[in-house]
Amino acid sequence: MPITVTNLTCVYGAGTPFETTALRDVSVTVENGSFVGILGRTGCGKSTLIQVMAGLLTPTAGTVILDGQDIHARRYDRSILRRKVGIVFQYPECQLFETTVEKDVAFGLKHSGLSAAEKQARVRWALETVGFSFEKVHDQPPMGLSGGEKRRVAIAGVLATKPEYLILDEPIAGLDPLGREAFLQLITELNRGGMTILMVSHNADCLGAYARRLLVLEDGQLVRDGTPEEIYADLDWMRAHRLGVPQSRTAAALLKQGGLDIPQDIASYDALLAAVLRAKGGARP
Amino acid sequence: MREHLTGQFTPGTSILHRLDARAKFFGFLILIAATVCTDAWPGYALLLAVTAAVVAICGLPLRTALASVARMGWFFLLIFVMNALFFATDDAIWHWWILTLSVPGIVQGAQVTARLALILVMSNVLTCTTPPLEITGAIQTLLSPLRLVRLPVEDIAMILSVAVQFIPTLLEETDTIRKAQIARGARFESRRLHERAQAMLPLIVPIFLSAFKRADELAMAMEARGYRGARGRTRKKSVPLPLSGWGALALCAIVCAAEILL
Amino acid sequence: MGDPIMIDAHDIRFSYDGPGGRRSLNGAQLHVSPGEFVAVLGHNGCGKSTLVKHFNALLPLQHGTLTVDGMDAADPANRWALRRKVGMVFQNPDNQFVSTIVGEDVAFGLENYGVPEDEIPARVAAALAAVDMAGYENRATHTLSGGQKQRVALAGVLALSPDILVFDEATAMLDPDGRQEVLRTIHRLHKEQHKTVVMITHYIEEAIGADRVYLIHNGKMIADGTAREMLTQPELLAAAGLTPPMPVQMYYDLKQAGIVLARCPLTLEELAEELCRSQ
Repeated sequence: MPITVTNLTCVYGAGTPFETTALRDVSVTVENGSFVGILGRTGCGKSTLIQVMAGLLTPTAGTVILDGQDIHARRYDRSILRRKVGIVFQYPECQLFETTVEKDVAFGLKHSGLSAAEKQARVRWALETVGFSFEKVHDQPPMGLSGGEKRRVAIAGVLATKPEYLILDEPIAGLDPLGREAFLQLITELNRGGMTILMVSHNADCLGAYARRLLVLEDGQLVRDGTPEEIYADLDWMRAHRLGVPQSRTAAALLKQGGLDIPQDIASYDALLAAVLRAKGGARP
Repeated sequence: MREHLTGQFTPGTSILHRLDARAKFFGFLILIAATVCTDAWPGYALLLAVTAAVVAICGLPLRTALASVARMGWFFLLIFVMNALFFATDDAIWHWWILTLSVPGIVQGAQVTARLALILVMSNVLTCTTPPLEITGAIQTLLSPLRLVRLPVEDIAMILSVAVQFIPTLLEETDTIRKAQIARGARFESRRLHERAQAMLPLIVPIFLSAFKRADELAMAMEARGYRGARGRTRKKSVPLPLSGWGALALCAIVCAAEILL
Repeated sequence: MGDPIMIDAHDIRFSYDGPGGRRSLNGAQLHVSPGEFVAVLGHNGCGKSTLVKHFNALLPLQHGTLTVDGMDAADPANRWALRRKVGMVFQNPDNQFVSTIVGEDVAFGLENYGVPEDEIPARVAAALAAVDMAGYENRATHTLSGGQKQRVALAGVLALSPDILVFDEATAMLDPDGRQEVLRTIHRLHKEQHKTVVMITHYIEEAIGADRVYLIHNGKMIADGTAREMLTQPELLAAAGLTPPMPVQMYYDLKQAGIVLARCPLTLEELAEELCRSQ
């Protein structure tokens, strides 16, 4: 079942001099198994949107329906939501607190009703999914790990409940190039395994390469909803709204200007390379 | 994004906003002294009038100005009941076990509650109308005589102002970590006290770690910019208190004197 | 200036656990000429931040030699002069402010060095103007964007007129807008005020405009040269745990497919030029 967001409005500090509207009348349906990117400039409301969808913020108006149930309804059992929807915040390594990696990853399973053996199997699965050897890290203190390793442990802690939906807020911030690539590969594999991915970023390059649908937010409003190719094709619009144009798209525009027959709905490096090879008559390696 | 906090500075242009912070802070202390000295009804009436006047001219919405008291409702009730029931007297209306209900007890309960409420409203107005940095500046001015007894006043002021500077960042971070742990199934609303204390660990440990990390980075940034304690730093000439400040202080002093006489 | 070398670091070894512990730096070296723009590239944890923290004596020299504009960094007597000579902007904009008010924060360094009170406002204004933040003196720091915060932090450093500016991953936590703002400002200060710049980063594109690029891996320099020399060698970059800029990647992918460009492009403009010329 999808997550359906209807007419969502979110106002902070209503009635005070600090009143700000973070979301205005946003409606969107996220289909099961999709990989959706949310693009927007700082302060556009993207963090608010995902927090409302994860049931961590109550909207001023509008509903979020998960599996047919309104998650903000008074009588809704939030433990269902917690099990089904995982959220990875920016710099998730900040949330580590336990004395060992295993205990920290298992934290989310506390109220799951699983047996000790089942819990350990889950922790093993989660740690191996993010690329650790369970034996090597499970009894180590998380604080002693490197920055990148801590982040993977934190993500394992979210994956341990096997969420159907995984929401990520700027997950690659601060990672170096290889770390970024490895992380995006991991997310892609989880998505292939059936997990629905909702990823917030201001990095148009990475969303273009990995997301199959893009939502663009501006001033709390949903201003675009389509594939990265459709949205990036309108270069002038992207520039006018200061969204940051992916390098591959900029290159496509420059090549066309220079007289090469390159399509303009380019959203990733691979698409650009394929287009250049077609234009130049080379063979795909 | 976070919700507005009780007592947080709210920019404005009222007389109170424009008043010198030192005068505001010192005046506030005088009014607290006056509140503590009061023990007669006319005194309370005068204080109530003064507080009402302060709230009226502070330019804040009534809800903001009184928010601190509203949030502490249960606390006030507790204070009142404690005072009313544990007042040692002979002419009790009602007596059971160690509990005694008496007219003087009720009066004392009402007085203590009223005092606390008035102080709370005034302190709330002070922090709402004064930027944190100006309050720390005022504290530094008030502490400055203690230089004579070798108290490192400048260092204390620096610690205070740096701490104040970190409050918004740490609050925001607390909010994020709380949400992250809730999303992982943390339950902070447990009923039993010891469970509750334990349930707070996923929040407290990360916040402490983060605060230490931030403090460490800030210390390094301060050192990189040549900080080596108060020695050798530029001494700022003190700005004399403007007339409006003296006026406000005089008013507060008159109120205090009146309270003592009443 | 008689000495043509601004920073001369040789065989620097360092361990946070003290001498004998696990080393963060393992014989690192760096040579920077006056007015040069040097980028130090490496993956997370390669020791690049540890290295630059020696330049202003934030970390003590455990092994090796380091002179900055002729001053020996091993001599504790030089510590304050070094910190005035070398201005440093750190990664997290929120963790380097001492005041909630922009003007007061920029004045902090000046006050530390005892600059007379009546000179301070003019120098604060000049520093803010140099980073395109003129008139922001009375703004609260928490109302600024990430890019603005980093530029204020830079103004606080500039107020002391250092000859060398060191950026310790100063763009890593910013959004694309903020990163562009800060980069533009750094390049302008380098060009107009002739500051010597040492920039630490793992964003490979940020190194393209540098005069000289050092690649660091496991606490040791593995190569140095012009930006073009360093960034057009994928194997070398891979050894440093980095990936090449997009145009370089495309050059090699095209080569594999039998399309050979006349030269390896470094920027998107060069890529377009090469591809369109060889039609």
